Amino acid sequence: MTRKPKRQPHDWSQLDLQIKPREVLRVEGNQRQALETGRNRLVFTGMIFALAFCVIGFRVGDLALWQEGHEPPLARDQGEVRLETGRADIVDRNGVLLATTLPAVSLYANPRHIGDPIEAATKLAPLLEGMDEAELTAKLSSKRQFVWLKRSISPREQYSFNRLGIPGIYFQQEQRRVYPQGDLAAHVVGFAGIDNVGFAGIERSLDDALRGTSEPLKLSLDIRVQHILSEELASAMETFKGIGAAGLVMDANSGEIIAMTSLPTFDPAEPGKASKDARFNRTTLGVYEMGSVFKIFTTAMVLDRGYLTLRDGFDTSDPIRISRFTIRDYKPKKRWLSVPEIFIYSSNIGTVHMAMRAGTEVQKDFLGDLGLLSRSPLELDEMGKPIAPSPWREINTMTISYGHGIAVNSVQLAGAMAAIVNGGHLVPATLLKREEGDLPMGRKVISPETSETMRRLMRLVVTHGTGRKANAAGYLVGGKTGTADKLRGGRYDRNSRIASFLAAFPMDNPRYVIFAMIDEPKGNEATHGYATGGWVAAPVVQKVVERIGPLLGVRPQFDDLAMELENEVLLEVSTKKESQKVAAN
Amino acid sequence: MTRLVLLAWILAGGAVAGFVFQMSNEVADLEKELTAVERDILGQQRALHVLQAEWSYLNRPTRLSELSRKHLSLAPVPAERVIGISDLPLRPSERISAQGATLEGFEITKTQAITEPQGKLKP
Repeated sequence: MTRKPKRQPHDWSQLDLQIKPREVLRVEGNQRQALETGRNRLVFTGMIFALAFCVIGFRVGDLALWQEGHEPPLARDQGEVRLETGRADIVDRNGVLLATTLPAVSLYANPRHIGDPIEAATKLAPLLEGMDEAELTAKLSSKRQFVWLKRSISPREQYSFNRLGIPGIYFQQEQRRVYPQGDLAAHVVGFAGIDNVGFAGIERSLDDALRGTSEPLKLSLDIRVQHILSEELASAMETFKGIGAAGLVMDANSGEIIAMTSLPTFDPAEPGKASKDARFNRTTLGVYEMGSVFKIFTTAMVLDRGYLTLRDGFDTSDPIRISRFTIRDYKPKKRWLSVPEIFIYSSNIGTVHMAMRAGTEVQKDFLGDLGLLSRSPLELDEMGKPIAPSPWREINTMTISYGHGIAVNSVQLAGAMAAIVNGGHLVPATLLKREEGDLPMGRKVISPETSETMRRLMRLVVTHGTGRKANAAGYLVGGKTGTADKLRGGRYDRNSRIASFLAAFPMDNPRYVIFAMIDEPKGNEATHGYATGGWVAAPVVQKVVERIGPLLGVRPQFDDLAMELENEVLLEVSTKKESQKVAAN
Repeated sequence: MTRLVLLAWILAGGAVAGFVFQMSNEVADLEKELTAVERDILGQQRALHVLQAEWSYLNRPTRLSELSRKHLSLAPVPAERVIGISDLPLRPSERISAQGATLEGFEITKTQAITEPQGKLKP
């Protein structure tokens, strides 16, 4: 039998590793073998443990010495706390809020939790408009688990509902789209439904972009300019008893729309209450025969393509008869007129003669170059397609030269005007803010020289011609009046017309294009019964320019370099007139 | 000797364990604080968001112009009142030096300068 070495239970010295056995044991045979096996196992296990400790030791050394020296960046994964509203805000070019998403509370009931539907209905009915007790009782005693009682209630309402203390009435946290500017930019911003889906305007056309981010979407609009334009248009619409009005202000160089108004307008918070007419965007969706403002393009065309010079002219004494039509002047001068005179007195007859020099193909190409024959690239779904004649006959060329027989929208018109005055580059119109260095080059449509000539001619319209009421002191406004009879059942109605004014300022270096249009204005005593572009729309432009000029940092000018240039052109006009008179005699 | 070493190890182990325990407690506290602060920030952001909407509602140009009509007698600046620095008339003393006037001429020039209704003199 083996005798185990005896140890004192607490004799620590026994633990010494170098202890020598005091008794020599002799173990033989099987027992010796078993002992050997046990020892081997112990050594083996010990080695494994030693190895594991070595590995851990190495790892500790490795982490302490060779890994990243600084503290582990645990905070990195926390991320920034950010308010997620599910739909991005829309702001104007200066960051003013146009549309935002606010938390809203909605009231619902779980009829199964309601003990006494009749009592609950009696209590609730006075607080819920448009629902009587019987209807409410029916709702509350239904077998469903969920019935809406009222969407988007105010905090005050929430408090009073809570005070009733009816079990089974609950509140649901929701998001609601809010438009702080009300009806001011309703047609541009549009509106979104109760489930945050865009239904009109930018809310609709950029719906995906708005949902994808919480970064605010920056429009090109300036809400101050928008207000001024709306106010002046509304006042003109009221004065002349128009059925509608539209207008826009565009940056002549970048193509950004600074303001865009369509009247009557609507409240985007309650689009359902608005009439169809109010929701109709006259600026983009409405295409109109614009009338004499098209003479800008006809004149630019013949001058730029070299068919005529400023010294040429035509006899405008006789109306032009073609098939069953007669083209007359609104206020006939009944004499020879030079090209500048035709333009500033807005002679239809003279303009038709000019267009006929260029011909149908040239006209078609030119208007196409100006983007007047294709849909505008503006970021709105409510975009009217232009209506152009097909086939394009000679008679069409004639009427289109003074803006009849072709219908375009205001955005196209302003875009083409911008190209005419900015040195000849057609820049695509946009409703999104373009950064300073991010301007598209634009397509060259006319030469800088023609652009300069056109600017002078348009300035002359305001100083000496039909657009005198648009002359905002100090801002060198230039432009062209337009008065177009509306088509009524296939015939032009002389009593319902579109009066418009297409302008740019300041004419020595145009920065903004302005378009104002009144739908079916009626003349009054102050205008001697006239309801033409010069009487109705030109004053709107004048007032708008005088108010937005200082806002937009346009420097007024009185030492008229431009005046001299005008006089130069006028001088040419008058000498030509004299010599012509002599010749006529 | 051996006992001392062992004791030292045990003490060191205990110290490290205690330290780690305390550290992890601290971290837990900090994390709780962080969550609270984040919730607070989010609440503030929410409030700010609502206030911003209210601010721009109260500042809508339609209302501002109404208020301005009611309470202020201000009008847009007419273009005639906007001029550049270079168009400003010089101060009398500067004008004298600009004209190279002598000391004797001072009084005369000064009077002229004052009596001139709208001196749009260019140096």
